[in-house]
Amino acid sequence: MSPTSLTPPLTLLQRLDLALRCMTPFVITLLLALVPVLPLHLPHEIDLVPAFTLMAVFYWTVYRPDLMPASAVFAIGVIQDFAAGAPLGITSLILLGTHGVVLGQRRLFVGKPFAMAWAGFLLTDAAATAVSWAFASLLAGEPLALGQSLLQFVVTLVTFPILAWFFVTTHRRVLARV
Amino acid sequence: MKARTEAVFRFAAPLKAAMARFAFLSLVAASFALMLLGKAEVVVVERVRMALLDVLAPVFGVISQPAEAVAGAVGEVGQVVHVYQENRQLREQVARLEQWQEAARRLDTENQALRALLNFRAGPETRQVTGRVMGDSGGAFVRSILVAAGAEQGVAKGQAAMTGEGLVGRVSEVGERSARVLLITDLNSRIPVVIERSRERAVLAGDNTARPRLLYLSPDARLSPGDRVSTSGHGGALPPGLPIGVVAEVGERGVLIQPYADWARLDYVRLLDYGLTGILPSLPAPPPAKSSRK
Repeated sequence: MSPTSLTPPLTLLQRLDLALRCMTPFVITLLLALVPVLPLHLPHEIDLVPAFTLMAVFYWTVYRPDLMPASAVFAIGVIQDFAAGAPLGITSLILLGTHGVVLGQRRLFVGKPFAMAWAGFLLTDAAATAVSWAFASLLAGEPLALGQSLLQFVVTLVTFPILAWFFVTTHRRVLARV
Repeated sequence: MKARTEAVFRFAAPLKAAMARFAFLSLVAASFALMLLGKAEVVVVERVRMALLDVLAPVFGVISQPAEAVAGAVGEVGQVVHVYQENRQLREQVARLEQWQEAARRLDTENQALRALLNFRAGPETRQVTGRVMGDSGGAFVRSILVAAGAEQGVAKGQAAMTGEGLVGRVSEVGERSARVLLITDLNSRIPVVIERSRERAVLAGDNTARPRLLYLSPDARLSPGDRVSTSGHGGALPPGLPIGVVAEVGERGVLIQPYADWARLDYVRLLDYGLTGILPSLPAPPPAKSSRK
């Protein structure tokens, strides 16, 4: 039943190596949460960056849900909101929602062509955009301008393949035998 | 042995699933709780924000440098293309500004002479701290920047943040070595302003777009594009006369202001300390003006 009984016990270094490898998805996502805050000196009109954490949570929930537990998702959302000075709680709610829904549907994506995952991400991105806009408007007490949200939706969708390629590479290099 | 393990698994699997579901739902509830706490502006949340600002400040200090280098390199390539045109424009501008400098010197001398005649008492001394911009918020719902100067350098909540061009915002959170500046374009920014030409008063309100709008303008106010807008000093939050921008558009969508500040080149900001407490700091008894900000 348990595969560990067939393999010899791990040395300390091997355990450490394994632990670090297992933490990779979380650490990458955490760093991605800080990227939006970097001064990129963009013009004010397009001063937004793709929702990197949404992509990361989507990818790792689909392909390695064991390494992206709900608690990690929550922590990433909270840290992102604090770092950006954004209204608290919205990002963690969005990311948790994504995690919860995707976890139930991941069989649709695992082992299927990338287009399928991209289509799934389109729906996720759309839902996340709508929900975050709704909550941000609710907290602000007035409907917010939709332009920025829509732009972010598109930018996020378009950058997803690039980030996904990066995740796949990491996945193969670091987590191949984990 | 094998049978026993299987039995344990049969019992443990549903239990584990139930635990996971419970944990998930608790985290969702925690997110909602955070939303309410953040909205209610609980002191604890503010403390945590400040503490985290200080933890994150060195991290941003390090990782913002390669990001700036990349942005700088991209910008330089663009600049090389436009260098001739820009040079010509700058020459014209220098010629124009030299005339203004002449005028300013003359007015300054005259002003000082008149002040001496009237025995004028100057306003309170200004102290200023300049800080490097080490982060901005790329979210769709918030417009703020992180500045590498904090309480240790004398930064306090409510101080005005300026670039060479004009007002960019107000200090909203202060850590030991870092501070967050709420930009005038942020949804929560409300700044009492005055139209310089007509002395009409209004409130400049951000809406997360590049051009904030004027609120509470009297209906018979006459404005035209190009009118300069500066702080009025009402409410005691900011000193009067800080330049903000010009009227860009008077139309159905209201009066839009084009700020002087160049958002794409926000590298350093000056934080001005006028010794004004105003409406922003958490006073023991908040004045009624605070509720109207929301």
